[in-house]
Amino acid sequence: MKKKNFILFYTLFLVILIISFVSAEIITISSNIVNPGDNITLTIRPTKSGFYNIIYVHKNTSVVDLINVPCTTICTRRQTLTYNIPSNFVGGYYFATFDYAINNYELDFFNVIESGGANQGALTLDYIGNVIFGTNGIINPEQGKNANINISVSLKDKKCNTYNVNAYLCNSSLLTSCTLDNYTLNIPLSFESKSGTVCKFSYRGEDFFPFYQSASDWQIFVRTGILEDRDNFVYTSLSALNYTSFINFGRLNTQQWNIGIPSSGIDLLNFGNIPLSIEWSSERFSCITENCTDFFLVYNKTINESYFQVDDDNLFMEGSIVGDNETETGLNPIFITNATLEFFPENLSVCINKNCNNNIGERVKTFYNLKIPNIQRGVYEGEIKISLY
Amino acid sequence: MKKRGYLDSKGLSQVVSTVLIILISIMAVGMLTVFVFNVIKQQNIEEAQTALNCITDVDVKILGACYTGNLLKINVKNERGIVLGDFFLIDVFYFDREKETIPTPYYTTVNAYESRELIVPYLSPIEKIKVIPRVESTAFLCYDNAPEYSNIKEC
Repeated sequence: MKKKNFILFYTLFLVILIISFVSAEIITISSNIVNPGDNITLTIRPTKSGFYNIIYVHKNTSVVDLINVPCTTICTRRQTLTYNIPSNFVGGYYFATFDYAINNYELDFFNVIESGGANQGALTLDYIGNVIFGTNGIINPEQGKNANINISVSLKDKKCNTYNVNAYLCNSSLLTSCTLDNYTLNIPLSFESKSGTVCKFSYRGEDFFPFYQSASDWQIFVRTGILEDRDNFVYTSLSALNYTSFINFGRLNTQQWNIGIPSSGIDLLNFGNIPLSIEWSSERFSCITENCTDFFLVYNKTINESYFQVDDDNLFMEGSIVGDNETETGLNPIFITNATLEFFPENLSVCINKNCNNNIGERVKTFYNLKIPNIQRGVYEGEIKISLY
Repeated sequence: MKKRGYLDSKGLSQVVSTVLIILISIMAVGMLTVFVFNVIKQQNIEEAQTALNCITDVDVKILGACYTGNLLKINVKNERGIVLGDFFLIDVFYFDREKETIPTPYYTTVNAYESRELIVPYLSPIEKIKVIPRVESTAFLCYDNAPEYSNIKEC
């Protein structure tokens, strides 16, 4: 009997002690993980000193909402309030209630997770990179189109197939922080498969990362409900040109300049994400007609005379080529030889849309001027080497 | 004669009782220790530190105050190199009612040597106000360094 009394004494002592500690906090909230549109019930048990009748709802340092408690300035009675989570809330929030007993704010945190978000389990970002020949953490641009990328995520939970998973990508050169309120791309991930308690979610497609987008460091975080995983990746640079691989000059006359061929010109486009200087070189055209062995050099070193030129217009005056303002428009032409290093154009701009049609120097029309020496009649073929710098 | 075994209910309850008493005692002692330490810490060290910090680091001036609609706007300036906040307490002395102490919203801070407008509800005509500053991230409310301002008119 004595022992029972002893236990009773200790239990009462403990209960009183616990109550005294617990009562240091005046608010209890019904749930600290909620969805937008849900209700949170706040039960406030103030001391005699009371609490301030405005409860602030904060996200980080900002007040995003407030609750007016129906009492005058200082509320001393127990209150039960219902707070409806606004539909645009997502992430971490807290109620700030001023407690006059301690002359300080009590902060009660809650997490708003999107509908379909997980509230338990583990989320892992497995891969971000190109689909073909990809390396995790690196996205290489693909010339003239959007990169074909793969984002792959594992979610471990019994009900993993019922959750929604999103990827948020942030361009570090534009954003200092990468958060739900501050991101560059939001990519919903599709459920792929379930094996035991592990589900795979992924995105595969060519909807993002166009070829003209600048190289930079990026961050990615994948998220579902309260689960998150983060990593960095790199979008690399690409030097690429769009140009024909075959040019038909048609029928040409010998011993005179053949000007502005082909007549429609050939477009030269920057298909990468860095400005380009383009160097042209060629050595000779050789006859490929049967029994014809003739050839001609595009540059006669002995007499220092050139016969092959690329320009962005079809204007030409023999004897006065580069720098002749009266006859030249646009870019100055250059002679194509295998002897000198000249750029045409010197700075081919990066496109700002996929059509490269913004007239910002990303597209240059090319015409050729050719002077054929006295050579054997036939079909001639030669190589033009284009180098990018 | 009745033989008492290991699983005898009376014997078992004695063991449980003893274990419970020991556990409860340990917990009670632990909590009491924490409680006592907190009391000592708060009442002695922090109070002394508060007073010292307030005297040496806190100097707030009220540059002006006015009301518009149901809002009271108070323009304060932090004259020292310490950040003030996370909130201020405003003692509001009314003509027609008792004094009230109103806190500014949480995370109201005034950086070193900066001015900032504090906003609290305006309820009825005010005789004077007193702005009680707080040293950021501490529990120091500087009641002795609280400037007063009267002649509060419509903005």
